[in-house]
Amino acid sequence: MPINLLFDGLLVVLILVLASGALFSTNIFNGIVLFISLGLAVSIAWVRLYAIDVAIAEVTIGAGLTGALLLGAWKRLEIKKSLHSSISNKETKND
Amino acid sequence: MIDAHGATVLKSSYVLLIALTISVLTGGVIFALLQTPAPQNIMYDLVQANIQQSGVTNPVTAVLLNFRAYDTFLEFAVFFCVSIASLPYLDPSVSDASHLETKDGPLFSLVKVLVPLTILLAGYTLWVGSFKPGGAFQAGALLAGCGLLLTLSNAGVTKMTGFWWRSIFSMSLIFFILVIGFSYLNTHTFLMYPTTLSGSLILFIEFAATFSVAATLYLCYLSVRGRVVQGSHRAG
Amino acid sequence: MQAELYSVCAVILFALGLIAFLVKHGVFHKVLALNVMGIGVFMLLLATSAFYPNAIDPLTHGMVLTGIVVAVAGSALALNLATQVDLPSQSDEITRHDKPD
Repeated sequence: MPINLLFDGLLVVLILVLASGALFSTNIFNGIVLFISLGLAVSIAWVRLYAIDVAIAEVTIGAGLTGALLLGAWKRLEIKKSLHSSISNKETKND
Repeated sequence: MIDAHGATVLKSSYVLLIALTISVLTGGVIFALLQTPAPQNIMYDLVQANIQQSGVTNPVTAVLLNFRAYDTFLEFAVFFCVSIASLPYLDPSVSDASHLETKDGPLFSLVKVLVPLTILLAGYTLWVGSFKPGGAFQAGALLAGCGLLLTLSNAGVTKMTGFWWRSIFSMSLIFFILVIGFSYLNTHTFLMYPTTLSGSLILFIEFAATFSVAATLYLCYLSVRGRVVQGSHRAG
Repeated sequence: MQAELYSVCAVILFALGLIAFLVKHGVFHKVLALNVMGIGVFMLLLATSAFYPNAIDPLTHGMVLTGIVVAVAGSALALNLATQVDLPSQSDEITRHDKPD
């Protein structure tokens, strides 16, 4: 019994640390990568709670697909930002 | 207010106020949560009593596709609406090329090995959902991951607005309505499957749902990504 | 004991997500915070329905499965809208020389 509780306690600490890291990081890319790791850790928690279908779904959809979605959108906004900053640099140079 | 980098942040007194309020409320919720008595476990026995009539042995699949099939039907309809809402955001200039354009060694071997294995794994997960953890959503998500891998290794993707793609998006709803019609003709009740055929009908619905879910999840990824062309800064 | 541990963790996750949602600027932080709040709710649902080994509550599991899939669809639609907006949001601006406080 105590070894199960120790494992659950460590898993809970891991989940809370990953969640705080993902939510309160200043760099967005760090936040997204920590969010994918959070999805994996949470999937282990679902297996500990005897919800195996939910664990399979969480690791593919929750961690994998949401992570890929966020990374794709981040890349696209990075390109947009560099476009805008290059345009505004050209405008200030032309003044 | 603006911090040193020029980004907008809230004033620190507001941040402290928000954090304090939410901490107090969280403490109250935790206290109330630890006081509530443990819930009674009646659902497992109810499901196990009737599981022979449902045609599958996995209780989660029985609940999702037989005892609460109407909720799953509505969820397929929600997914259909999501695919309609994401279709306009696709990049209109995509070509119809669909051969592997990558020249990287490791990526090419990885894709060659992983994609057929993942398709096989998705088929197995779909079939095994009747008596072990698995099912349609998990298999559909595996297929969507397959599509993601192909997109990231520069295999071209076809336009998803053609007739066959649209029929894949609506496949789950169409098959479900066919099953509803068929079971109404047999038992004259809305959404009551005939008992001898219920296992096969559940597999039929799950087969269609796998392709629909996979296509919709893949479409969500493509619509967010736009098109990232190598060497040019096109933001889609 | 296991159920109470995971329930408390779920409530703390939800509170962390709510604080991040209210405090941070920018669309990515909001979407991440909403997803973490969703994970907290799922954890609470699953922790109160795991009774003893092999006697689970399958109704709650179905609800959580549906919830995961709808959450990812909602995030996809939110990011669609965010990437289509033409102007960069306020918190993504690196240099703005004429912005009042």
